Amino acid sequence: MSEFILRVERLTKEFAVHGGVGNRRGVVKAVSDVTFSVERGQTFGIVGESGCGKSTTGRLIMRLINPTSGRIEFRGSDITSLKGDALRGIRRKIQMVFQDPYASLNPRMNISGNIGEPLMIHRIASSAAQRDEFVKELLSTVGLNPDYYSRYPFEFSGGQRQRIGIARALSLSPELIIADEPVSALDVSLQAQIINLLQDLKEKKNLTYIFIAHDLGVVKHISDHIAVMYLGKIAEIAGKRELFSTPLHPYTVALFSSIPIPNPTRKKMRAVLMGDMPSPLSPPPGCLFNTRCTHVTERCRTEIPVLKEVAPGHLVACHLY
Amino acid sequence: MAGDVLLSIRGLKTHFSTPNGIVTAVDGVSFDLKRGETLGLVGESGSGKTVTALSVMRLYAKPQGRIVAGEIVFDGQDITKMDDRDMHTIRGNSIAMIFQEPMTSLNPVYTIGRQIAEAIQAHRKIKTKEAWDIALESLKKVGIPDPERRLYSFPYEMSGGMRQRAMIAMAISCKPTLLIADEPTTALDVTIQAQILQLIGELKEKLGMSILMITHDLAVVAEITDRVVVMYAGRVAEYADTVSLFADPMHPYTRGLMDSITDIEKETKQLYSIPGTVPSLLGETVGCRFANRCDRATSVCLEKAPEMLEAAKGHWVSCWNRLGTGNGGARK
Repeated sequence: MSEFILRVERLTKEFAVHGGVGNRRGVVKAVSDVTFSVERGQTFGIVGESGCGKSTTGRLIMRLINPTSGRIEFRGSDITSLKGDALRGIRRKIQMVFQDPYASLNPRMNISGNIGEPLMIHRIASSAAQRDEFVKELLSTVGLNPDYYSRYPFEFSGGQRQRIGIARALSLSPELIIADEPVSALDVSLQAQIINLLQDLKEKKNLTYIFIAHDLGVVKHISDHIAVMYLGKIAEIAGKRELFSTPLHPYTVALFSSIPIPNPTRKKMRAVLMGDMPSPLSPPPGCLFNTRCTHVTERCRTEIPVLKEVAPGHLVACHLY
Repeated sequence: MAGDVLLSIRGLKTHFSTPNGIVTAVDGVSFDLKRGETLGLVGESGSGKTVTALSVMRLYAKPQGRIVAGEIVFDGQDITKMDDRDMHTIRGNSIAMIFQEPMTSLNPVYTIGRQIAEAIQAHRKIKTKEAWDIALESLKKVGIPDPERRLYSFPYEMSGGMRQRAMIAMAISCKPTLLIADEPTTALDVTIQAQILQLIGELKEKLGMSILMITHDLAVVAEITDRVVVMYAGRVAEYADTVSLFADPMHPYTRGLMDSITDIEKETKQLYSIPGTVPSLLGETVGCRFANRCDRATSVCLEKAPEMLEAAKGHWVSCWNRLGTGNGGARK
């Protein structure tokens, strides 16, 4: 029986919105009723387009923001409302890698300061010299020259900076790493380097990943299980093979069919999705996808579909199933 | 008229002077774009693909940037030798360009209709009313819902996909013969990307345009181009029709790129990754610019830059140790 390192139950995050033209007021449900579990040692992918709530989900799990309702369970204990020292203790075990390697490193701190700051905060390193030793080791773990520890972020390229970001996430020997679009700011040849590094590290250090990305190809490559999100809700969750061989939710089908394939002889018939994602400020009633769905029925416009298991491990939120 | 050359670039060198020295951003680029075709210009950041396009438009940063050599012949005229007034009649008129980020390339304080009408009036002496009518027609052509109302919308009132459609409407409003699209879908979500790529394809047929499609995404190239130019560090690595490029990549860089991308229709265990990073383009370089990352590099690669060579019919490659034909496909 595999162990779940993380369980998320009916997680919801609402943001109050006000100001702007006409001083609009309202509530954006960035994440709504999200439920999933992540097995230890696996990579759980979350995909979706911009505004689907995938990053907010990651930040909620990391407790960078507080959920409006719902529950987050890490290693069997509820961490939803931990504070102070207890929260800091959990943060050692859950770390994050961010998208933009140019924005996520402090430009005025050298690499040792950037990577080693968590070590000082958590009192793992007691002196700067000890910190530097830790940092050198971490640098070689992520494939950088350990002698770079005293350099500054501007001296590194995007790919190298992302390695530094990964080294920082590894510094506290976490069990779970939340990677939020870790390769989308990089060129393809560098993307491959970083993805391979993440996979190697996972094996070596027994890590569990939550891998958040909009690039389905990358998510497919790295994940074991994948959740597809749309407008704050989970549309479908399944094992990677299952999801790609038999996608069920019409949104998943449309998403897959939108992806260009790098083979000119395999040009495919594509179901191009019409229109845009509705504004999260005024989501449609019923199923959130009903404004763009080709299988829409009257029921979809009134009743919100719940996520249900239609095959072992394959969950979908759609009235068709 | 299909098949004859609309845009011909020969030995183009666009260099930039910086406090640290000369950056050879585009260094000897040659290719032809035929009438009615979609040519892909693919490469990573810093490969010089955008500077090549900006050179065609003569929009590179001046005075730091300069075309130091080469010619760009568009429809029989050399753009590099044109004076600014003649260039003005071409830019935005017979050659139009759309950019990656529609929010930064539209003016936030003017309505869409006014911006499109302004572009039309810059090239044609017509009344404002008439220009607005053409603007409305353009918005209809790019499939913007409720175009009459959208004429009076500001860019912030529109989604990313809609803005890109508005940009395209502006670009086609003067009926260009060449449309340069610089990463037009990179900032968009995949479902919107599919819409925009489809739209560009339809408009090309309907309006008889040729398209220069600049992208870093090989999958986009495979989907919509007829021929491809692969650029690396300011030079052309490989240049072929799309089908043979994907079937038989001859340049180690092209092959490396293809092996490092993910394909949702294939299972891959370990991605190939090209070691190292793109070299600095400061100053003159000797030898092949890819040599320090190449697994086939030999001593000649470090000493002398390879010339473009037609290795198979219509398939050009610049490499001393090119991959032979027939062993394309998967590595190993």
